[in-house]
Amino acid sequence: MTRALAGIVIISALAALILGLIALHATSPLLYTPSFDGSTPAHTNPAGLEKISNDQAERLLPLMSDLLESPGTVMVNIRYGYLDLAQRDLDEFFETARSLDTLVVNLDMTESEIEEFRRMNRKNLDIMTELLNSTSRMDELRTLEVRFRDSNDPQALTSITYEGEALRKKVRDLLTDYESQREPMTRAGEDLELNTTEYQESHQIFEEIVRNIEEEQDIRTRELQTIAIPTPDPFHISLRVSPSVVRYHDTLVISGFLSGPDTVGSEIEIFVDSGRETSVLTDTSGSFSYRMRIESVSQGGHTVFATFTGSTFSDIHSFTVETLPTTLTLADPLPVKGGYSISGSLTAPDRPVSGAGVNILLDGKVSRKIVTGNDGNYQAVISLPVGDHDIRAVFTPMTLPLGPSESESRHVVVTPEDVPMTFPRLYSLLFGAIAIAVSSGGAYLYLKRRPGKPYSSPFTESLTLDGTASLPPEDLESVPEPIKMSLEIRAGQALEEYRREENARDAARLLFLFLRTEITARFRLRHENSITAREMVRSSEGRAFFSPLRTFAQIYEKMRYDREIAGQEEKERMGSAFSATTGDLEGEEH
Amino acid sequence: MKNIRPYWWIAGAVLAGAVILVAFQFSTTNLEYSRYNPDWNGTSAFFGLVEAPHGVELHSAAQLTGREGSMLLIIAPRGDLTPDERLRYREFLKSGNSVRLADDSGEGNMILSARGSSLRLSPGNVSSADREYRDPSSVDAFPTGDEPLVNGLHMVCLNKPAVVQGGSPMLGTSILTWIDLNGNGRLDREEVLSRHTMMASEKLGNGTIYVLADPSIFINGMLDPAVCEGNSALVNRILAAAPNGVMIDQEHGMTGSEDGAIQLVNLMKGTTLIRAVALLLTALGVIAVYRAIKKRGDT
Repeated sequence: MTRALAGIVIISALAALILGLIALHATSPLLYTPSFDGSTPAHTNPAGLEKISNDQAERLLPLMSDLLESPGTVMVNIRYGYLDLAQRDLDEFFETARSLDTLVVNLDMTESEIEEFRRMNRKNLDIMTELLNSTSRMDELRTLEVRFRDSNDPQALTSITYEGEALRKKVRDLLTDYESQREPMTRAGEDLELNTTEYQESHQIFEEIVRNIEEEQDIRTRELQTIAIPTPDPFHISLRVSPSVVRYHDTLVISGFLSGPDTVGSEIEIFVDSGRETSVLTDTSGSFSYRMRIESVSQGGHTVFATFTGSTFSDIHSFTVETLPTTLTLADPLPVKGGYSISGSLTAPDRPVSGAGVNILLDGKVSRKIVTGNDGNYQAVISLPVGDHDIRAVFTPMTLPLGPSESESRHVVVTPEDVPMTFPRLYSLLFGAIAIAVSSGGAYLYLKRRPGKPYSSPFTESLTLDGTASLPPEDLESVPEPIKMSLEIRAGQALEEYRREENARDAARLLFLFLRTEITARFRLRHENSITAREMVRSSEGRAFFSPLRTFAQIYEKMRYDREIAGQEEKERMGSAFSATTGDLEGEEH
Repeated sequence: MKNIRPYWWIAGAVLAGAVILVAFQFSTTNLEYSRYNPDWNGTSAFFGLVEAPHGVELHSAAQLTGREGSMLLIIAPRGDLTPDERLRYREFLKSGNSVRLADDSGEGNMILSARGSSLRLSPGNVSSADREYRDPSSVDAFPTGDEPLVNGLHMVCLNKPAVVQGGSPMLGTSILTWIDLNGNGRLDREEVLSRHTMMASEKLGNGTIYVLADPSIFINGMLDPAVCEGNSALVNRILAAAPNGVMIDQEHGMTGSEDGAIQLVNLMKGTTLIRAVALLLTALGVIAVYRAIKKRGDT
C-alpha cells in the first residue's frame, strides 16, 4: 500500500514537472526547427530557409532597361511638341522609377551600384519633370506672345521675354545636369549588360530641345526690340542679389530700388525661376528687400527678376545653390513601453536639417518615416518582433539641396521577454493554464478513485466488520449524534424520508445512498463515492443481505432509469427490500 | 520457457528495442557529406542513386588502372595525392575517362594541379539576387553552353558555392551576383555585380575534367529541393554520363568520412575473419542473455 502510494506520488511529481517544463514553452512552443542548427560552413539547410519568389530579381534588369529608355521617349515627344504624350510618358517613367525604388529595398541593395543607378535615375526623372514644365510654360508664352502682339501690349511682351529668358537659363542648366549623369549612368548600365543606345541618343535630343528654346528666345528678344514701341517709362528698378552662392538654410537677400515719381509703398513682384516668389512694398526711399531662406530649392543655377505694375522690369540676376553633405546619426535603440525608442539627428555642416523625412530601415526594409524637428533631431517608438534585427536610418533628399546620408547600423536582439504581452500571447498563456488546471483536476479525481485511500465515513473508525467498536469510549463520545444511533433507527428515519419524498426517483436515490454509505463503510469497499448498485450487489455475494440487496438493486434501477415513473406499489416494494436489507445487514453486524 | 514470467518478456523486448536503437545510432554519423549521414548534410540519398547505374566506391587509386569510358567523381575533396596516385589519376584521364570534381573549399585545387588542369576554384562568399531562398548565398546557376550535361536544365540551386576560374563555362550565375566581401549578406558599394562561373570543363588528353563549384548539390537537403528540379536532374545526368559507370572517390572525397563505430563496422565488413568472429560473438551473447533471462524468470 505504502509503496503503491509512493509510486503514485513519484509519477504525479514527474508529471507535474513535465507539465511545468511544457508550460515554460507554452508561449513559444518552438522546440526544434530545421533553421535551429541548420547551417554549417559549407552549406545551409534549405529546409530551414524561407522560400521566396524570384520574380523581383527577374524583373530588376528589364526594369532598369526600361528606365534607360524612358528619358528618350519623353524627350522625343517634347521635341515634336506632343506635350500631352510627353506627360503620359513621364507618368509611366515615374511609375517605373517607383517600382525600382521598391525593388532596391526589397532586394536589400540600398548600398549598391543598383542604388547608385536608382539615384541617378531619380535625378533624371526630376530633370525630365522640370524640362516638361519649362517647355509647357514656353508653349504658353508662345500663345501669350501672339495675343500680346495682336493687342500691341509692349509691357506684356517684355514680361514674356523676361520669363523666356529665365526659362532658357533653366533648361540650359537642366541640360548640364543631365550631361553630368551621362557617363556614370552609361557605365552602370553597361556593367549590368544593359543596352544604353537609346539613353545616349536622348542626350542629343535634349541638346536639340535646348537649342530650339534658345533660338526661339533669341528671336523673341530681337523682335521685342523692334516691335515694342518704346514708351517713356518714368520708373526704373535696380536689383541686387546676394550672396551669389547659397546653401541649405542660408538666406538670400534680394533687394533693390524703385526710382520714379511717388514710389513710396509701391508693390514690387519678385520672380524666381520665372515663378512669382513674393511681393514686397517699397519704403519711403523707394527701396525694397526680401530675405529668402533656402530650403526646397534644387541645386544649381537660378534666376531672379522684379517687376513693378507688370510694366517695369529689373535686369535678370542669378544665384547658385550648392549641395551640402549631411550626417545622419542613430542612437542605440532603447526598450521603452510599446516597443523600442529610435532616435538620432540629421545635420548639415554647422546647421540642423529640419522638417526632413528620415526612413528607418528594419532589416533592410523601410519600417517607418520620421520627420526631423527644428533642431534636426528625430525620435519615434517602433515595435520589433522577437529575433535579431539590424536597424539603420536613411535620409534621401528629395528637393532639398542636401546630400544623402545614412546612419550606422544598430543591432538589436529582442527576446520573448522584451515583447509586450499581446492578446494572442495572453490567450496562449490562458489556454496553457486551463489545460494544466484541467489535467490536474482530472488527475486529482482519478487519484481519489484509487484504492487504498482511507474512507472518511465515521463507521470506518468506530466499527469493525464484526460490529465491535474499535474506538475508546471517550472517542466514541465525540462522534456526532446520528452516528451513534443504531442502524435500525437510522434506517427507519431514512425510510420515513423516502416515503415523504414525492419524486419516486429522488426517493429511490435516498435509500440507495443510505445503503451505499453503510455497506462500503462496513466492508471497506473501494470507490465509495462511485460504486453502483450492481457493483455493490456483486461485492456482497455470500453475505446474508445479498438476496434482499439484489432485489433492492433491481427495483432501484427500474425506478431510477425506467422511462415510466414508478407507482406506489413499486415504491412499497422498494421500501420492503430496503428494510430487509438493513435488517440482514444489522444481523450480520451482530 | 513457460515459467518465464511475462514481465521478463517485456523487459527483454525493451532491451531488444534499446539495442536496435543504439545500433541504428552507431551506424550513422553527422559528418559533412558522409554517405553514412542520413541527415540533411549527408549524402546517403545520393549513394542510394549511385547503386542503380552500377556505381562503385573507389578506395584505392589502383582501382583506376585499366578503366575506359568511366568517370571518377570526387565530392568535397580533402588532402593531397601521393606521387603514385598522381600518376594513376593522370593515366586515368589520358585513357579517355573523365573526372568530375565538386568543391567549394579550394581543397580541390591540389588535385586539379596534380592532374595538370588549369581550372581553379576560388572560395568566396558568392551571393546573388537570383535565388530561391531568403539567403543570398543560395545562388541560382544557369546553363551557359551547349554541353549536353547541362543543356536544357532550367537552373540549378547552389548552396554557398565557390567560383570556377578557367576552362569552358557550363553553368554560371546571373549578372545580379556578387562576392560578399564583408559577409554582411548585402550588396554594398564596393561589391561589384558580375556573372560567375559555377561549373566548367577542360579537355586533358583524351579525357575531360569537369569542376563544379559546389558539392552541396549532392547532399540530402539539396538533392531534390521542391523549388529546384535542376539539382536532381544534374546529379542523374552526372551519374549516367559515363558509359562504363561512375566511381565515387571515397579516399579523397568527404563522402567517405566515417567516425568511431562506423569505422569499426566497416573494418568488420571488410575483413572476413573479423566478420566471422563478430558473428560468433553476437550469437554467443544472444544465447547468454536468453539463458540469464530464463534463469531469472524461473526463480
